[in-house]
Amino acid sequence: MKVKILSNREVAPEYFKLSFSATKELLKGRPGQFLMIRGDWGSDPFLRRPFSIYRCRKEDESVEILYRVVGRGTRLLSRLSAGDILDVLGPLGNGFPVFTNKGNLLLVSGGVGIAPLISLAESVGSGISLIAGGKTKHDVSYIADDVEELCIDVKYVTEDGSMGQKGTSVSVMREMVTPNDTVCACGPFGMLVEVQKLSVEIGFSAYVSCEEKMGCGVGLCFGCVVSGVDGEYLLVCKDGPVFDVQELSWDRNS
Amino acid sequence: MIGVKFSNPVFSSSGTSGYGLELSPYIALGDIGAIVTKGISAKPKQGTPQPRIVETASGMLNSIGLQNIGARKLIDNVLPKLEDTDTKVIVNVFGDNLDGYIEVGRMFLNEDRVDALEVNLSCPNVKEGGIAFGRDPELAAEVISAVIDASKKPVIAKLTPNITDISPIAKAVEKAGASAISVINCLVGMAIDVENRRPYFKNITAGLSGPAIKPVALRVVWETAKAVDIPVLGIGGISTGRDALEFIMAGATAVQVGIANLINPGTISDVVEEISDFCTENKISDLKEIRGII
Repeated sequence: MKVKILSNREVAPEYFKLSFSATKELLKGRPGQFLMIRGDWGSDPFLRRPFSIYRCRKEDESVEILYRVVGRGTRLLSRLSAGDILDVLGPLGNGFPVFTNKGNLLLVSGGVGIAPLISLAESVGSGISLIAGGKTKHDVSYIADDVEELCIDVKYVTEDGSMGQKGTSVSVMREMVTPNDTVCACGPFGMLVEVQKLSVEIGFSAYVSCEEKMGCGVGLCFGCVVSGVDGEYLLVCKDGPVFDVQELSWDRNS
Repeated sequence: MIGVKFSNPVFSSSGTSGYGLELSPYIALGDIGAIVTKGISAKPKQGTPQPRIVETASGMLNSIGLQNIGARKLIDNVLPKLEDTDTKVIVNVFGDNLDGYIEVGRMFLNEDRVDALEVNLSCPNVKEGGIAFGRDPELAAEVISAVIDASKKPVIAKLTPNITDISPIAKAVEKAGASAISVINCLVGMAIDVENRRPYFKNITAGLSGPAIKPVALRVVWETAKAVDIPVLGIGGISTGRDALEFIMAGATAVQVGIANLINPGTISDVVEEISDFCTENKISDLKEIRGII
């Protein structure tokens, strides 16, 4: 469906927050679900791009995505401005489970993987714990206003120590996590592998939001497969993007 | 066409519409002339590992490797769910060798929900079967005639454009009893990861589709329609009614919408409507009036 862009701001070098007016259908989006988006730019680039829902503001009837400019599609997206038209398909895929006990919930992100976790934090309510990691402060700093608004209990961690603790989100998680916790993670593949290893070692349960190149986002093309624990291929778009970390074969996907 | 009454000449193409049901949240299946399923083999097939997709200028390369649930699961789990829909069902089939084609053909012998089989003689992404059969007129004819015998269904031959001259192979499958010919399957292409100095895909080559291939597809449809008397189903980068009309003017009796479904799973409705509007505006009462006029 066609929607109108409300704002498209660069919030850190190469990171953008894009907000658009949303229909009732789009506002039904749950944390961890995604949208397939393209601009009104003809046949090149051809495919839509998948983006997690970052904020879903029902009162303003707007949805916000967070993205990093990594290629042609996101570069073109970054040049759009308020009033421009976007073509949005969604909400799609399976989001995070509904959590009733936020006390033992721990959110762990790496870089732009923060997007679905802010959405999750918003739905669970204030006081939730989040470890937000990145290489440098630019990879995490832009969430500060959302963290404040949503009263998230955040720990920043950067590899170069430019913001928060020095280290990685997994190294900080290792110090904090207990076997009774449920971890929800999104970030680079290597980080998710570490989360899986740690979940086996310590015994906590974990859900991860996965990323893969997608042709359609709705199960038509079979482009976005990941290996399941029995070696069968699962579709990130239909079976995921959120998986129980033990559902996937992390060796096969490496 | 081919002894089946289709409600309209716009079909979904194999590999871009799952097993058909996946389109149903976005389009009334009855609005689709026919669903052509993802390629099906007698036994399930795993397909290729990642990476499977790379975007190109106005198109994409894919290397899915014919991943599919196998004929048994399609028959038991998918066909019953299509029972109450008005669309026609064409199952795209393939085998690793002649016996594989016969085996999968035979599995649809008593499946009345299946209106026709489309035999894939053209997949560029697998070592066995597929394209090897589509480049040799004798082998192609042998496969087509064997699948007709095994399935007793109308059989459509899906041919490859990766060949110097399509005429000998088109004539061979027509002689072997094919009810129609689908052209084109993907063009063979490749992409290179410059930073790592390696081919992007594990199989090195992959199948190119999308608006980028439309001019080539149109030329091959035109050549095929000139070479044979059986209907030609035009495929290749169709995303609008005007695209479809170009194929019809080049000689196609029906068209298949491919990766445009990936961008907009409701594309087929738009294409049908645009063709209909064009016919009304230009006082065309039957597409026959413009078919093959080039």
